[in-house]
Amino acid sequence: MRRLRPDFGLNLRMMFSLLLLAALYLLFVWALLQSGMSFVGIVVIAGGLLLVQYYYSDQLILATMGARILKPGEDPDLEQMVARLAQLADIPTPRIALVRTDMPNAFATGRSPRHAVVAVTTGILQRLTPEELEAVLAHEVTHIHNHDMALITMASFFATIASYIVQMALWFMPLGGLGGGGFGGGRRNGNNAILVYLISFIVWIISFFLIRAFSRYREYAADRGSAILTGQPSQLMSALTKLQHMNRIPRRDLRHADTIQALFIVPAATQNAIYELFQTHPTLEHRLEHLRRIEAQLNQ
Amino acid sequence: MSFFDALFGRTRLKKPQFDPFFRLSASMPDLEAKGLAFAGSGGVCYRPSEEQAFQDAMHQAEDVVRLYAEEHGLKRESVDDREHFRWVVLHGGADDVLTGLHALGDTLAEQGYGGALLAALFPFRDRGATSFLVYNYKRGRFYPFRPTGHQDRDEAREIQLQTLLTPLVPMEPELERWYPLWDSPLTDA
Repeated sequence: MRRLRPDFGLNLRMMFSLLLLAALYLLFVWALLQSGMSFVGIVVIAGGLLLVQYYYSDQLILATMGARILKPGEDPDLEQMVARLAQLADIPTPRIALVRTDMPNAFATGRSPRHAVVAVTTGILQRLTPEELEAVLAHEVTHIHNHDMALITMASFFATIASYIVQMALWFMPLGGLGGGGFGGGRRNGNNAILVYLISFIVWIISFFLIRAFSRYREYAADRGSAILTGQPSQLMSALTKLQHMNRIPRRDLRHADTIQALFIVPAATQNAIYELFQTHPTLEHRLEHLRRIEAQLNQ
Repeated sequence: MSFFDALFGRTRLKKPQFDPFFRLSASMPDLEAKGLAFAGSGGVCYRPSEEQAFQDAMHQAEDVVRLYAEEHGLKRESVDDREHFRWVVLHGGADDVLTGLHALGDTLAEQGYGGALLAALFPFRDRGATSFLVYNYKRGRFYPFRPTGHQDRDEAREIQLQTLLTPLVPMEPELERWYPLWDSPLTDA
C-alpha cells in the first residue's frame, strides 16, 4: 500500500481549534476563580456528571437508538469485514450493533477502543454494496482508532459547564438569585455573578463553534483513514453520495403534505458556509472534494 | 409566486403542464429497452371541491373519460381514497391510458380547475416488483417512486431510475420533492 502523506493543513487546523478552545477555557476558569463564588462546586458537580456521561454514554446512545449487540455468528460476513478492518487499524475488534430502521446510517461509540461498538442500521445493510459498506465501516473504525468519542467529550468539558451556568442563571435570575447569590455565593454583590454569567455565555457560544469545527476535522480525518484502510476512496464517495441523496427523499405522503406546501416548498437549507459552521459533519461537497484529493495522491 | 401574491397571502394554484405527459407516451419503447415495462394502467389523483361549479366540471371531465374508455375498450375505475382525494384509473395500452387521463386533466383545466390536479401515477414492472413514475402537473416533471411496503420505499433504485430516465423524460431533479403516494389504488396493480 502506498503511504499517504499526513495532511499538514488538516493537522494545523485541528491544532488551531484546540488551542483556541484551550485559551477560551483558561479565560473561563480564571473568571470562575475571580468570582470567588462557589462556582468551583459547580465544576465538581458538572465534572461528576460528565464522568458519568463519559462512562455510560455509549450504553445510553445504543439504548436510545434501539441498537442490539449482535451475538457472534449472527452475521458472519459483517463480523469478518469489521474484524479485518480492526486488524488493519490495529485496534481490538469492536462489537457490532444492529439498529432496526430503514434510515440508512452507521455510527461508532464507546469511550475507548476496548469498549467500542460499531452500529449499523438495517437500512444501510440493504442499500450499500459490500465495497461501499466496507468504506463506511472503515470510517467508523478510524473514529475508534482516533479516540474521537473521548476527545470530543473532553473538549466539551468546560463548554458543558458554561452551558450549565447559563441555564441555571436563566432559571434563578427571575427569583433574584443572581444578585442574592443563588448559587450559594452568600453576600457577594451581583456584579461578579453577572460577569461570570456573561463570560459563561461567551464561552458557551464560541466553544460551540470551535467544537463543531474540531468535530468536522475529525470527520475529514476519519474519511482519510477509511481511504487508507480500504485503499478505495471512490467507494466511500459513492456511499456518502448515496446516503445523502437517500435522506433527501421524503416519506411524507404527497396528499398529506399540504397541497400548496408540496408545490411551493422551499428547497432544503442551502448548504453554504454559514450553514456548515453549525454542523458536526462537513458538507457532502467538501467531503467529496477532500476524498478526490486523497484519490489523486493515491494515484500519483 | 409573485411579490404581491406573497405580500397579500394570495393562493394561486399553478397551471398544469401537459406536454411532458406525451413525452412519456413517446418514450415508452425506450423505457421498455431499459427494463421498465408499462404495467397496463395509470391513474390521476385530484382534490375535489364541494363548489357546485367544480362538481359540474368534475362530472363533465369524468364523462369524457368514461366515453373515451368505452370507445377504446378500457377498464375504468373511480375511487375516493381515505385522504379525500379522488382517483380515476384506466387499464389498457400505454397510449390509450395516457390519452384518456390527459383528457380528464385537460377538461378540468379548461373549466379553470387545473389546480386541483395533484399527480398522475404510472406503474411499471421493474426487477420483479413495481416502480411508479409520478407526474407532478405543476412542475411538469416525473419522479420515481418504488414502495416496498406501507411506509417504505427503495430510494436506491429510485435514484438509479432517475439517472436512467433523465435523458428520456423531464425528471424532477430536487429529491426533496419526491413525495410518496402510499397505498394508492394503483399499488396492487
